[in-house]
Amino acid sequence: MATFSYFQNYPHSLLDPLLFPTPNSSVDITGIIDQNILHSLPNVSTIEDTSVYPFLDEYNVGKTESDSFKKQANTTKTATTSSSSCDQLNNGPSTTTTNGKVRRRKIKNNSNSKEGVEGRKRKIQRSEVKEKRGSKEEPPKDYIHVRARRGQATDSHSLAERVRREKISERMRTLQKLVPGCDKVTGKALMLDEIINYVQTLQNQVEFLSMKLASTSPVVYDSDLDGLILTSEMGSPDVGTSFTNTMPPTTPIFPSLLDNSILHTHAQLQEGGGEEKEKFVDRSGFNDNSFCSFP
Amino acid sequence: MSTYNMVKQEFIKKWITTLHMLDCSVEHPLNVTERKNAIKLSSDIAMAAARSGSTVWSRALISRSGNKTANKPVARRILKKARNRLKNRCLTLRRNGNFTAKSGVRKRTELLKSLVPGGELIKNKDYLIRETLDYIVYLRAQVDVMRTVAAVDSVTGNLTNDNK
Repeated sequence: MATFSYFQNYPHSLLDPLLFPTPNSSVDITGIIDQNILHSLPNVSTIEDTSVYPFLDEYNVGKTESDSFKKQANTTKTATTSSSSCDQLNNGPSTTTTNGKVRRRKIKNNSNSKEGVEGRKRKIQRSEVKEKRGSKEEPPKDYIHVRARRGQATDSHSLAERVRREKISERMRTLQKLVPGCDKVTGKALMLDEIINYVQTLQNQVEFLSMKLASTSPVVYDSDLDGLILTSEMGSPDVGTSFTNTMPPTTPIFPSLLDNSILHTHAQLQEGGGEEKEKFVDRSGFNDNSFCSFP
Repeated sequence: MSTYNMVKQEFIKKWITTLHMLDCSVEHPLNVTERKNAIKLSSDIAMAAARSGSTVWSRALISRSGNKTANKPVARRILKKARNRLKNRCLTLRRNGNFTAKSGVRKRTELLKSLVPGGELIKNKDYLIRETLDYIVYLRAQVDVMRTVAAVDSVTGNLTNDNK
């Protein structure tokens, strides 16, 4: 009965802040699980790495992959301090990963021998390096350790296969949470159906909305007012000046689209709050007053 | 939710830029369809440029938009800018003609590959799902922004009509 410690080393999905808004529940997690969490969040060091999935730098946790097997008994204190030092967004994925790993640890049998672990570690390392997709945020030193459950094959190939399958199923679960109304559906085929449906719906919405925007935006406009509205409406001066610098001298095609609507939306997002329609009405009212004052 | 807001902000910035670039060099399209195509093109490019990273779908989307509007110089300019940002790593799309998928999952994977831009080039199923995830987030951001803009646009349209 081979036992391995399982570290999930794939970078967490960028949707974790959307999906797991729950605060970090301070469960009594053992030290090894804490280490799992810490090492499952890859350290995104260079700009090239962050560009792969930019939300990953939210989950930036210091990487100490070499320590993982040296200290088996990790203190809960260090883990909680490091997790508390991250922002709240980190707590979401940590919690779920904890739950996943707690589940796993309950299943496996406890027969650890350090030499055996070390020996099989190297085997898995080779197979894991083989199956790695070459994603830059996973440094080559990382390796995945899999716990073989009772009655399952224990050679390195099947273990690597199982790791891959579990990765895929993890992703599918995340996608399941993202696509609305997909909780009840089980099985890959039906889930893929829902996802395809959702993507098609979103694409159709984009088509429809762009048609709507094309039909509602008026054509004639005066270019002088663009600069005025930009400088007056934009809260942050840096964004406003950058736009005025790039302002074309010709008459714009989508004037009200650009200046009123998009800038309002932009300002709304900058304020960080949800803006109701009344606010929009107020601003547009102010806009129209400025329109009327110019001949 | 601040990350999602950041996505939307990034998309808005890029969209304004692309719309301005469209304004510069395209003569006034009188047709609603042409305007719609211009808006869609600009927002697609903005979405892909906002995601300026090494995702397959963003590069594939930009190259696909380039193939569609190869004649328009403005599209070329936008694409040139976006390409430079992506360090000239655009992929060329080659569409598969026939789907001969045996099982249900296989068939649906092929269909998903056809939906996500650049999906056909992804061989690893795990990576495909990751790309889809990313693409869905940005699609959603695009839809949300456009919906808000359309709502504001209708409101301002009503107000300007009232003031006249």
